[in-house]
Amino acid sequence: MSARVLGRRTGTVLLLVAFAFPLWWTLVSSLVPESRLLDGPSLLGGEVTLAHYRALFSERGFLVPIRNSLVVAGTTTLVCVTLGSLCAYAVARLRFPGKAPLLAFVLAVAMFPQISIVSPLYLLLREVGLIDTVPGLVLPYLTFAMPLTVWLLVGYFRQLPADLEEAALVDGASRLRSLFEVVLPLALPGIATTAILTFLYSWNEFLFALSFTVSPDRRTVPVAIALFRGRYQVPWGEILAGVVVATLPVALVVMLFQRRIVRGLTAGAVKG
Amino acid sequence: MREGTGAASDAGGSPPAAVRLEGLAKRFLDGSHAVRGVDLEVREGELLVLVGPSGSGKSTLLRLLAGLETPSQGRVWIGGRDATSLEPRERDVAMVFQSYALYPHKTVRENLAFGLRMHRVAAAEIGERVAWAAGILDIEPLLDKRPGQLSGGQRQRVALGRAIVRRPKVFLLDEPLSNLDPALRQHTRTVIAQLQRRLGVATLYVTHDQEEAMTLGHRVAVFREGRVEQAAPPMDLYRRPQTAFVASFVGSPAMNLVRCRVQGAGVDRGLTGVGVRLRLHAREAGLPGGLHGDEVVLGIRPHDVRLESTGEEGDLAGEVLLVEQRGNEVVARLALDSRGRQDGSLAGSPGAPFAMVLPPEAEPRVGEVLSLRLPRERLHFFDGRSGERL
Repeated sequence: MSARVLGRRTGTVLLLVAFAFPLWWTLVSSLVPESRLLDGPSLLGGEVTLAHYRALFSERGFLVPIRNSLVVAGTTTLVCVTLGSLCAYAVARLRFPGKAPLLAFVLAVAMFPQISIVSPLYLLLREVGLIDTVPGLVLPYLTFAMPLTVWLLVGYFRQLPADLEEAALVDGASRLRSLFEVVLPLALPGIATTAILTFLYSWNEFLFALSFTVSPDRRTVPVAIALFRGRYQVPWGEILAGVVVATLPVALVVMLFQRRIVRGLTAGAVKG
Repeated sequence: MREGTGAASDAGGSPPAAVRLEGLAKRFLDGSHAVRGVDLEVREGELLVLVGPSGSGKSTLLRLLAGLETPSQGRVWIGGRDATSLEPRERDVAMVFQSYALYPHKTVRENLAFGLRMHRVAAAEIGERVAWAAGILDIEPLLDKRPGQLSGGQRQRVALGRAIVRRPKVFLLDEPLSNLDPALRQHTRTVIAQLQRRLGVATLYVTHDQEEAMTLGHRVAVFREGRVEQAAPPMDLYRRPQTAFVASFVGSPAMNLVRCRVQGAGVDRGLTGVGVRLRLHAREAGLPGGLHGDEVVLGIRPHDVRLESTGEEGDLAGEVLLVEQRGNEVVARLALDSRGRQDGSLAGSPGAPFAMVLPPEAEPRVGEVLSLRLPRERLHFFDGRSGERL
């Protein structure tokens, strides 16, 4: 009995170390002066400096990619949740011909490996003159964010009792009105979770952002960090500082909402 | 209410029925028939109860009326207006759901006001009407609570309130009492009956409980497999059930039904079945002439079965299998004795034991053989095949 508890605790600790250690190392290393960075493992103590962070924001102008990422991820999330909830509601509740193929199509779109659609997307975007613009990133992001949103929200909407909407319909509401008055308020936790997940995916996206931006002031955070390395040197200190800045807010949000996010990822899997 | 009535009422004559259903049928996408051609009318101010076993189509009928389902065939008339293809919101009906379906994120007040808000009633009038409904149902102290904070009975009253506050043309109630405990159910039944009589709004009330149906309804429509077997005032259903199914469904304990064959013709005829050997005189019993050799279903209510006390040989003899004390009466379940048969066994006896009601002071013992008399004027006869009353 107690041996099992002990075993489980040890396992938990090991897992925690495995996941937390890289984060901890990143954080500590970003605070160590460049000169001592490659000396060897120095995890604790010693000289602490904010030099990398200063360089990050002054010399590298890291605020620009942060703003770009916020705009792109924010817009993607907004569009996804707005259109996605309408689509998900229709899929979850209405009977219409071709519903099953539609759902399969939505899922299929999300199945394509990103790398396989980079070239066609690039040609498309160039044709309509959207390379190196915000819409030029938001539109491609919708290809993976939209299916995710729709699938998550369908799960949420299906969990809501149909009686409530029917009561609203009989009470005099139109379909759309009952969606706004009854369904959406009740699905709000699910919508928030979906929004956070969509935002995270877009915030972390790398391949599209790298392929469809050209000028430095259009780059998003992951791309900017990846392109820190010069021809002759790799500025590890600044890269680490950039990683901390890009990761920390996200990690905090996830920790705050983790319970809901887990529920979102498994929504519909088990009946409430 | 405030919506204009579309079509004019029937030309002259009596006012149109509050609800009229014509040949209404619903087949679901999977091909199953929920409702197979129902014609019904509900008059203004009438409470019509739809009763039947689960899956008999009564709830689907209610949903067809509310506009939550589209009929495959037939028409729905509400207040003299063809509502068949109207949206739920255009029908001016209010529905109480079995689950109550209160909006969990709104307060009781907002729940009540929702329908009025959707119909663009002025704010001042909404306030008045909510107060009026809350007063009637005694839920004023709950107005600022949310449904999650209420007990089952309170939720039920809020659900009723949400319906009456609209002052609709028709109330639709879908098993509104089935989630309440028995004591509360009795009480709420009375509340609903009084409320309906007071407001005088045509009401369709769905239940699977025949007792609820009999006590509540001005008229009761008995459903079976998507059809109305009989729609009539409760006492008519009880006294003259039109089919064997209605006979068995209405009344408790249920009517005894025994398959028999008609023997002979003319004045003196006999009925024979398992454990049954009856002599009928043409004048006494309501069995139509002819029928020699035909199979009929003989029915008699347990309350109408008498003990043969004169010492003469009775119509039937039954061995007591089970005794149920009901306080005001005693119900005995009997196995009919196949007296006069060679084998003397009960092989092939009908599934349900024969029931009879005895006065509370009677103390039948299990195993005792009772001699029974069936008053001829209390017999019911149904066609052996169709189940129709003869």
